[in-house]
Amino acid sequence: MSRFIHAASLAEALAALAPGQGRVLAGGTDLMVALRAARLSGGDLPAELVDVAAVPELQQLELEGPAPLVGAGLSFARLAADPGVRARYPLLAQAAASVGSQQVRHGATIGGNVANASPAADGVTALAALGAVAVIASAQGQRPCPLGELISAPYQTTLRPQEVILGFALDPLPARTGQVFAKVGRRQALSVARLNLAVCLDERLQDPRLALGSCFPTPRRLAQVEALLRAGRPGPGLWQAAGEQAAAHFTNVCGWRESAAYKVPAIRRVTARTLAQAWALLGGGS
Amino acid sequence: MSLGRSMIRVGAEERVRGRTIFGYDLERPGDLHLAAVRADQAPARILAIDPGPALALPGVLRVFTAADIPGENRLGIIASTRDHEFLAQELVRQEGQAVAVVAARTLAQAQAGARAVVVRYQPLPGVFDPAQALREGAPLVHPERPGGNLLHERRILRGDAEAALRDSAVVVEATYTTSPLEHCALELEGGRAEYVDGRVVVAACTQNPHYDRQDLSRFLGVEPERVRVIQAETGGGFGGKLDLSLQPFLALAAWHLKRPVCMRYTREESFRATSKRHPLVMHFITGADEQGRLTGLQARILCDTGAFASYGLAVNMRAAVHASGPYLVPHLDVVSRAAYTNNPFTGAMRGFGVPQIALAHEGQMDALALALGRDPLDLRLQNALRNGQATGTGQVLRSGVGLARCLERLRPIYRRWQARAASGEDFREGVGLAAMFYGIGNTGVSNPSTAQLEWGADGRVTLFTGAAEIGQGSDTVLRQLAATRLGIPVEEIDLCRGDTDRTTNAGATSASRQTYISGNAVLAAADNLEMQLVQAARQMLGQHHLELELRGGRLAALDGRRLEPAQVARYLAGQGQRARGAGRFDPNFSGLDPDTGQGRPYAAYAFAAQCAWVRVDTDSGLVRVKEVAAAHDVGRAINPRGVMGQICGGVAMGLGMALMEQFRFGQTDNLHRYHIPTFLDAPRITPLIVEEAEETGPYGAKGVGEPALIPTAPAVAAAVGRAVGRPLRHLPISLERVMAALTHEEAEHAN
Repeated sequence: MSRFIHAASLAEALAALAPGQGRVLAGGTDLMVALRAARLSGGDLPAELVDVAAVPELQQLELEGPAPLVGAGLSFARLAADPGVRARYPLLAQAAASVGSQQVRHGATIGGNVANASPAADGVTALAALGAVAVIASAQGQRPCPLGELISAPYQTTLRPQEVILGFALDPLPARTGQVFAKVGRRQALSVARLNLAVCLDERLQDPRLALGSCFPTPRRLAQVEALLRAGRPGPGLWQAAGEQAAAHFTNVCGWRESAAYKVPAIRRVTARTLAQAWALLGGGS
Repeated sequence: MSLGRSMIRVGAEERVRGRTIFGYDLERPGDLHLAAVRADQAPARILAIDPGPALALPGVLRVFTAADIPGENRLGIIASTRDHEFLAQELVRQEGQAVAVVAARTLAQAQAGARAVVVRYQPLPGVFDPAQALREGAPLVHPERPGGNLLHERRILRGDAEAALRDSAVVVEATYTTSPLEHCALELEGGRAEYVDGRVVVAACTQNPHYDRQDLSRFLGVEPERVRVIQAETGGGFGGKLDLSLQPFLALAAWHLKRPVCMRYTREESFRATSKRHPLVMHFITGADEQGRLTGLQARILCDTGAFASYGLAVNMRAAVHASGPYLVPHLDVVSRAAYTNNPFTGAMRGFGVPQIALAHEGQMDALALALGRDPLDLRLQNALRNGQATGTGQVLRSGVGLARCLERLRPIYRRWQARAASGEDFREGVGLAAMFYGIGNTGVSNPSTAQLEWGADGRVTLFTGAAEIGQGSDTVLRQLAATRLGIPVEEIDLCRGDTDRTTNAGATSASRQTYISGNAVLAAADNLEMQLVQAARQMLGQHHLELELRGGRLAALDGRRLEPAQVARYLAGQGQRARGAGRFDPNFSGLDPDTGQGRPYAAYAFAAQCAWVRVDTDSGLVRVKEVAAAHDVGRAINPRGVMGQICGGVAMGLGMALMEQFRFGQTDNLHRYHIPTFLDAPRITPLIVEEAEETGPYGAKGVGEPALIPTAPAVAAAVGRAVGRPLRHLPISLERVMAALTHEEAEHAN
């Protein structure tokens, strides 16, 4: 049996976590499933569950200005519906809307999605494309941590037991961007992504962003593909080439696994299509 | 008149309001809890079971093993293949088989106890592929069994298929496969048992309370009268609650401990411990002449029945009997075999092998249409069975053959969708069609139902039936039938259902049989009740030759006199008697010839055709089913709303079978990993009711529970095949299989 601690403020949460015996509980949509499995198999349960759902400091949402920040405690339902997120970071809103089901989205938080560190996490792929840097708090203070350093391996993070993710600092983007989040699952809801992709293009392809999830140990931006996009002339040829490059990167990293027979053509085609869709949003032809 | 009127199902409001007490909810304060110890490996020999560490834990009262079973440990509904050891005796034949059961004061203590029991195993070589299981020298799943790993073989031989295929203008040949599936009833297995006055009373979710009592009494080694089974409200079954699940554990614990006990399966345990749908491998060679008339079929079918027989024999028979589909096929050579393996046991699931076999016979029809340059609907219509024609088992169908009418109902929709199906840069659409027939009731065996109707002195009528209501609607339909026959409003009929102390055997709620078979039994009970009322009324009036009949809920004499049945009931009560009619119905069947499979396996058949319109995302392989139209010949829709509900539910379930469901032991044991369609995956469904009266049915009715599902997967497969330009012959049609078909095509174009 775990002790349940309701934290009403960040200070309370950090105080409760300070001894290092607690697990952070946000929406619980991943954690409670894991705890149930542990209970049924006779495994260890955390000594304390620190509920941060009501911590106001985790609910920040600052989109305008030089340092945009998305609070870790925001639910996917909130991110999917928020007019500001939809206007400034539509790929994040789309990713949020694709998570789980309506019920799951009301509980699940973006911070929890990152902390759970699934290779298929829709929120992580979206955040990766937006250059997110996690702001991590502990009783000792705050520290920034890029997403790539925070998630170290599938279902593993470098987060210390005394810490909680406060939010994610996002890159400010140009006024006009074309953003698309694409997800392939085995069904229309409650589906773990077989493949997810976040694309953000600017009008001059100066800072194209492309992140791919459910293909690598952790979702990641594909720097080589982005370089290719920067150097190329927008159009179907470039999108195709980018798709080829993304698929090649997948086989380079993961080798030719059984799943590659599906993943390689799917990455190739979905990448090309998503780039074309993002470009079309900027008024460009396909 | 309640017949043919859409009724809100009995119990619907309670369910919507969350007030229904299901088997899963029966726990009462003070009940002991049970948890099973399940084998984590198989096959294996049990070397030792040490309950010591469990018994040392707080709250653990007892650990039961096979040695504690007073009676017979080999259970199963089909008497000739009883082989399910509810607690493994010496050999563990499949992973997940129960080895021991722990009784404790709380659920957590029982679960902790189950984890603490130490079982030592010696691993044995196993066999996990049905084809390998039938090879010489394969490890035997039941070494003591004379027939080796072959559970059952069924041949259907008619005419000379070899010659017919040789002389055919067109012959198509292909192999089709399906996957093991889980029923995923919303309600998990749950129940409660107590020891009352020397008897064990078991209340649990089930599809077959009277069978449960019989096997539980064998299990306990007592007369059936010492076991009472009450069918708890059951939240879905789909065949998964036909076999006994946790009832033997409940009965055993209540018997030994003489205390109330309850037990519930988790979703994971339900996945591991209950039956699955048989995966089939179907090799079909089908011929047609130049005009498109079917000439012959050679089919070789292999069913993986897993570690226990369960309903394997029934599935194997049905697969063979239905292999030729709802068509006139003069020459048949069908061999279907079911093999034991050490896989999880497979058994009954909505359709008993027919949803699988329909993939093959419908795939063949599409292949023939392609080869002949014919339209798939027209080719089916040309070959559709008609009244007066014979099935593959040589059974001439006198009435109720509604396939042609189903196809005609679909035709305008099918044509419209064909015209509207589009293709784009990154998607392609296709429209597919599939048909089926389905024999109502058990195959080639007696499967009677019985019922009673009592007219009370207070004027209310009570229907006594053993027919398990599992959500399919028999509580409603049987009352409608009784009300119609007795001429009273359905609201005046009370129901007593599924209690072996108070009702008699109606047979299983399976094989789409309750409307047809129990419906007829209820009508027979009504006839019998009328006769008794008439006789009693004559006595009462002292006029022994008075012509009386039951009309509009009253006894009417030719001279215009009217008599309330309640009056007669009161008169009978005064003599210590009751106005109670009993009815029985057993379909008119004949067993199949052991060599040729010829015979009359069912008294009635349902027919159906469905078409599906799908969109395939050519970048990802994702299939979206946009529309399904489902035309079902149900003979007569007693409760049209119920029929439409069955059709919509069947289509949704068929969609899962078509696109996403695949059970893999240990990998897909929850609803997160085992995918069934969500509401967002459901297409727009257009149910179309066709009523081609079956002359032996209650007011012409047949059944629809399983037929609703059967054509869906083949129709979706045909639609996807049309969209991607290649036939899809393996279920589920996963992202990977669609992508493989697409990349194949791309490669072909490149060449």
